[in-house]
Amino acid sequence: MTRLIWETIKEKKWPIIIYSASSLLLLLLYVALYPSLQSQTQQLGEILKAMPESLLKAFGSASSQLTNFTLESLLATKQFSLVFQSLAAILAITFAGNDISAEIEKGTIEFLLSQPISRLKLYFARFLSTAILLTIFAAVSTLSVIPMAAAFHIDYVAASYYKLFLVAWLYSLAVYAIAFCLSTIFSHKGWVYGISAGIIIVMYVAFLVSALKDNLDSLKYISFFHYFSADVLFSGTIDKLGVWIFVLTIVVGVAIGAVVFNKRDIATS
Amino acid sequence: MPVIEVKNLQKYFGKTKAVDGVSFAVEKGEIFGFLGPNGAGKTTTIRCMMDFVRPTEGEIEILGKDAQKDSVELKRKIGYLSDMPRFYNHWSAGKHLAFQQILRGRSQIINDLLKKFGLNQKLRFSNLSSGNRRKLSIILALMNQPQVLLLDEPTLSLDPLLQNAFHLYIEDFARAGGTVFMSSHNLSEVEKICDRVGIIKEGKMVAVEKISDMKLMKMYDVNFRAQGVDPKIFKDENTEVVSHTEGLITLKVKGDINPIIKKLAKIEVKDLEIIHISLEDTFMEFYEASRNPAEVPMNIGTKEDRK
Repeated sequence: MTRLIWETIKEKKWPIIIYSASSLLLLLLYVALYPSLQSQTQQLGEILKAMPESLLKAFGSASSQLTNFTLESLLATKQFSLVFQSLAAILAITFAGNDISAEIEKGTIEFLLSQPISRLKLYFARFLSTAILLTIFAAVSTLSVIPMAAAFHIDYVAASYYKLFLVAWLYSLAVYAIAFCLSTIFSHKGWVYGISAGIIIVMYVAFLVSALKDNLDSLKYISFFHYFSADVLFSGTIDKLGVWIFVLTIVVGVAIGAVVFNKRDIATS
Repeated sequence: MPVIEVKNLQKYFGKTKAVDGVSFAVEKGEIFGFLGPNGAGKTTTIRCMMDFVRPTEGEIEILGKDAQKDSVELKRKIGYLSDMPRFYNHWSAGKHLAFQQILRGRSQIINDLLKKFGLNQKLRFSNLSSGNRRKLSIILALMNQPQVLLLDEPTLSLDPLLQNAFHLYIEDFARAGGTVFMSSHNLSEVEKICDRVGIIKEGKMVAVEKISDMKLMKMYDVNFRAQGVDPKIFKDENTEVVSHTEGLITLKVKGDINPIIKKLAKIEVKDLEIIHISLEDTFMEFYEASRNPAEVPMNIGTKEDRK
C-alpha cells in the first residue's frame, strides 16, 4: 500500500507544486506589502482619532480595524476570506475527479484492478495520497506566514496560524471527501467536477445570504464558509462545531465512498 | 476439478440482459475459445471472471477459488488482457512494466518477452501504435508467469508474424500446464490454437464443442445442373435447397453426404460441384441457428464429455 500511495503522490506532484507556489507567492506579496500598508493605516488612524466621536460611530467596525491593523487582519480579509477556500476547493475537486471516475472513464482502472490489490486498498491508497498532498498545500498556505513574517520583522501571533492550519486542513479534506465520494459513484469526471463545484457554490451563496438577511441567519450552518471564515485569524479561536462538522463530513464521505466503490460494477466502455 | 468453472452466470445492467445463464468449464492445460458476435456478452463474462463486474446470479470459480471473494489471491495467478489496451498516456511502456513489477514482484521472463515481441519500452503509451499497445498488453499479461490467462481479443491489431509468435507462446504455455480462456472474432485463430470453443449469442451459450468435433461436423455446398428435376426431392432434415435457377440447383448438406449422392445417381446430372465448407461457415451456422437457441443442443462440456 505504501508503494501505491507513493506512486500516486508522484503522479500528482505538479498540481500540488503549482498550487502551493501560487499560494506562497500571494502570501509573500501580502507580507511584503504589510509594512507600507501599516504606516498608511496609522496615518489614517491619526486622522480618525481627531474626528468627533459621533462621526467615528458611522464608520463602525471599520474604524476599529484601521486602528487595530495587524498582519492577521490583513491576511484574514485578503487571503483567507475566499482566495484560499477557492484554491483548496479547486485542487481537492480536481484530485477527487481524477482519483476514481477519470480512471473508469479512461479505462485505466482495469490495469489497476487486474493487479493483486483489493478495491478497498486501492480506494484508501488514493484517499491517503491525496490527503497527504492537501496537508502539504494547507501547511504551505498557512504556516509559511510564520517564517515570512519573521524575515520581514513583522509582529505575528504564531498560535493563530497553527489554528488556521488546522481549520484550513480540515476544510480541504472535507471538500475532498465529498468530491471523492461522488467520484466513486460517477464514471465521468465531468459529473464529479460539476456536482462538487455546485455544492461549494450553494454553500457560499448560503453563507452570503445568511449574512445579508437576519431571518435567514440559520442558513450559515449548512456552509463550510461559516465554519472556516476569517474569524480564526481575527479572534484567534476555532469554531469547535465547525471542526466536528468537517470531521463528520470526512468520515461519512469516505465511508460511503468505500462502500459504493467496493460494490459497484467497474464497466469501462 | 476444472481450472475455470462458470455456473449459470447472469448479469443484468438495469433491465438490460448482458449474460443470461452461461455455464462452462475449462480444464488445466486447455485453450478454450470464446466466440460470439459483438454484444453477445463475451467481454461481460470475462469482466465477471476478473471481478470488475459483479454477477447478478451464478458462480465463478477459478483454480478452486471464488472469483469475487478470493479476487486478490486469484489475480496473482491470472494474466489478463483487455479487449482494448487502456493504459496511462503519459507513462512509457517501461513504466507500466515497472509498476506491475512493484505490485506483483520481479518478472523472470520480461527480457525474453520484450525480445520476442519487440517492444520499445521508452515510448510513451500515447505515442505507441495500436500494434505496440497490444504488445504491451500481451507482455503485461504474460510477464508474471500466471497459471491462467484470460484474454479478450488478444491478437487484434497484431501483424501476422506476431500473431504467429503469440500463438506459439500460448500453445507452449498450455503444454506447460497453463490454462487459457480467450475470446476472439478471429475464427482461423480459434481453429488453429483452441482445443474447445464456446459460442455465445445474446447472452446465452448456444454451444460448447471440441474444435476437432466441429471439424467433423461436415457441411457441404452441392451445386449441380440438371433439367426437369424437382429440387424438393432432395429436401430433408439435413438438406436445404438454397437456390434453383434455370436448372442450376444449390443444396446445403449437413452431416453425411451419401444420401444426396445416391439421389443424384438416379438423375441425369450435367455438372456437379461439392464443396466442403469452412469452419467459419460452421460457426456462422451456429450463429444463425441460435436465433432460436432452444433448437441447438447445448453441451456444457463436462470433463467426461471431453475424454
